[in-house]
Amino acid sequence: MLLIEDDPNDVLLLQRAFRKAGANTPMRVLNDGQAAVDYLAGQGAYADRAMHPLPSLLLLDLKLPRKSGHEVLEWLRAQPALKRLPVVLLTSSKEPMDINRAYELGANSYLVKPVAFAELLSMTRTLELYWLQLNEAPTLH
Amino acid sequence: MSNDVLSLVCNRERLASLRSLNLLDTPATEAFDRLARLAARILRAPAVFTSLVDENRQFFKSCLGLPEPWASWREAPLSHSFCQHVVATNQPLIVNDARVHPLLRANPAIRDLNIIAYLGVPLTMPDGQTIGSFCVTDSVPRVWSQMDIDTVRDFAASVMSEIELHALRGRLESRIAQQADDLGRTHLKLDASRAEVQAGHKRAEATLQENEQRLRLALRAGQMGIYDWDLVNDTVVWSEEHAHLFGMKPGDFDGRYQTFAQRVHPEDLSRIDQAMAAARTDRRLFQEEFRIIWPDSTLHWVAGQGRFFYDDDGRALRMSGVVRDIDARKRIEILLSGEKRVLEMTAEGAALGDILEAIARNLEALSSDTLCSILLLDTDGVHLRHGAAPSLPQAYNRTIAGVAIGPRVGSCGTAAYRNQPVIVTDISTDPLWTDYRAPALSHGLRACWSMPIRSSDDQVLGTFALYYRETRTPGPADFELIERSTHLAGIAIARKHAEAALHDLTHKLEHRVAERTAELAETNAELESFSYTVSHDLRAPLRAVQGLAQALQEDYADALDTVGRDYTQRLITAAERMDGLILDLLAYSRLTRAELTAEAVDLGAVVQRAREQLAIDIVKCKATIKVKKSLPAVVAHPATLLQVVTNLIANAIKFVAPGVRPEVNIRSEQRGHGVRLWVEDNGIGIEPEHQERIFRVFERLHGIENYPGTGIGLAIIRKGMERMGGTAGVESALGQGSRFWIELPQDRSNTHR
Repeated sequence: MLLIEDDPNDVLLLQRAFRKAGANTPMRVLNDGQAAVDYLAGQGAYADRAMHPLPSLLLLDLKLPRKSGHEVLEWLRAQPALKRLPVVLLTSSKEPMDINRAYELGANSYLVKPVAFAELLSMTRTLELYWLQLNEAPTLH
Repeated sequence: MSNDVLSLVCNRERLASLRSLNLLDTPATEAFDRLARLAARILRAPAVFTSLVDENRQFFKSCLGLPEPWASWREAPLSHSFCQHVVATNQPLIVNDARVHPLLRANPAIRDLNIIAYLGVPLTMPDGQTIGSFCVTDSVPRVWSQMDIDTVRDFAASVMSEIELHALRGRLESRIAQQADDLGRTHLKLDASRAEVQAGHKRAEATLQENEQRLRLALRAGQMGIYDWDLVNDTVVWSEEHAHLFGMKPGDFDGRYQTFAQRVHPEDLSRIDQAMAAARTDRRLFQEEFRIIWPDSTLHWVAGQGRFFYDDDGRALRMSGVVRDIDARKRIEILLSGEKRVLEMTAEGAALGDILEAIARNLEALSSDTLCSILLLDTDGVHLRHGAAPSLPQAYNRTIAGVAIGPRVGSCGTAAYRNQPVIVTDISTDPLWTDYRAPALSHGLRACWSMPIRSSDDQVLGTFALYYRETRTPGPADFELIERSTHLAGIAIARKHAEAALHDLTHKLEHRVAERTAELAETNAELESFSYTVSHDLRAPLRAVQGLAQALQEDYADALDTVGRDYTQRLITAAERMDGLILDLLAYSRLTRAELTAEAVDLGAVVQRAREQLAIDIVKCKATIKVKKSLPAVVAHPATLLQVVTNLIANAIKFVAPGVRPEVNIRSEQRGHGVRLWVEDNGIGIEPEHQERIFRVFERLHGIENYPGTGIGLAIIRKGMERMGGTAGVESALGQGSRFWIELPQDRSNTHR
């Protein structure tokens, strides 16, 4: 699982929630959009695929430094080798414009970060159960 | 009355005098018939009678236009006689319409002899006895003029001359018969009688001449000329007045039809020829109005009227009739119709050049030798621009266009400069034309009268000028014509100015609207990016505060005492509240910005969905919600309507007194073309003075502890309804529950399911 999130508090809370939810899938965290692209493309600092393996699920925030979540998603869906990767947007925006744009670009799911931790916890639980356990993952090259 | 008439008619001396003439029951005589025909022609009357009245009847010595069988009988009983009244009174009888005449309205002659209008003059003998009446009649009502009466009187005099002549002849003949044996005496008496006859002839001739003189004077007074065209010899005779009407002296006319044709305006000639040919073949009245060009080349309108006369073989022998001066009337007609056309063109928004040209042409049509020029003063107030001058040489127009006005700039430049009329009767000598004389004279222009065209506030809009090819001084009629045309041009120009100003203003306004729209779009975009930032960035730290406070509460519960746990709980609650506030604000701001498209929405389904969304809250407060069956369909934006209805129900179940179970009634009501949805609760109610305030953003009536909330819910209802073209309100009193309502247009399409 790869989490792209620039807010350290959100990272902390999400990690805590996943931990509390009992998820055992390892989570890599990157803080900006460009880093996400580099990682997924296996370039620059992330050239070693063994050290930086492709994730089975991408958790993507929308408002990110350097490259927005939308841009990352658009780039991703244009990559023949990566375009099947399931992407769940995890963001604070409830704007219809953002939601619709995300789906247009090929998001698999769109979740709004709840404020109450209890709700966050129940969301991460569902997310982990659905995407990492129930869902059949595609093949990536 | 009729007995009086009868006794007067039966007067013995009168009857004796009548009988002595030996005219009763004599055959028709050409002399009388000719006078009758002449009278009929001159008076344009269908029937003319020489009526001799005895004690039983009226005998017609001549009867022109009498219906059968009366025409063959040549007499009519006194019951049918109008003439007996002329005889009885010895006065002319003038009847415009016998059907309403007090004496005559019952007279059967109206029906039997077709006599409606009647004009009869007594036939009075030299001994003073009236023997009958010379009368003209018409089968339609007619107002007899003094001229008609005088003419009939003249004819009556001529008829009396003929009667006297007849009497003389009769006497002569009886004497010849009586004294046939006494030749000598007879011879002498015959000579005497002959002399008497000659004298009678002379008298009659003198009377006829006198009559003719009267006729001539009458025709002159009526500005009427007589013509008689002998088709056999192709000679035309004009009366004196006829020559005057053609601008000629009596005697100047050479009697040729061709000379007449040359005087007719070329544009009218073929029409005249056609009408004349038609009158000739169809034997009907020739009646046309046409223009005559006088030898001095001025234009004059006349009306011609006449008839052809034929021999027994149907060959036209002559044409005679009258011409009348209709110049004044015709000019007014042309002027008015021209003005009407110009005003119509102005109203219809025709091009200014076309309107001004129509004004110029209209004036030129009224005087053949006038050349009009309309110049427009430029917006700079200095230069004159070409407006319209359809008949002036183009080269001259080009010379004049663009000239700057001044105290000595021809007629127009000076008139515009002075804002006063400038009348130059001779360009070749007038000092105002010093600088412009050469071009004017080279184009043959000799006189120029110019009037400033003014706006309603006396500003000079341009000039209206009349040019002539010879020196000319205007008369009062000219001034009137120029003033009217100038006024008309002023209206047209002022109107165009107003149109231009309006156009300019519209353009400016459109520009401003476009600017404002762009500004608004920019503001809107800024607002959108602001909301975006708020929704992202403002909520992130909140999540951190809330999440970390909770982590503290969960992971470090043991390390915190009661106060510490209370503080962390307060942190969590405050953060939750702020997040709710932000979300509501975003919803409200989205509502003000988003474009809402209305469609048919089932109100019942919306209420159902709102209840589902609020299911948890409804259960929590144990509320009862009753919805009236079959709510109608409305026209609304579905998502916004759902939000509004959800807020209404949430509001209704929230504001109840502690310990009270909320009861909510939802029903609809027809209001004209709209539907009102009522949401009635048993809550704490709202005082009237607060009922408008509560719909504003952040307005709260109660503390957070008692009734939690952001103070935006009702504002969202009001704004959402406004955006959908609906309304929202409340009826309530403190402690008596509230009845909130929203109103929307009803859907009439029936296309939804």
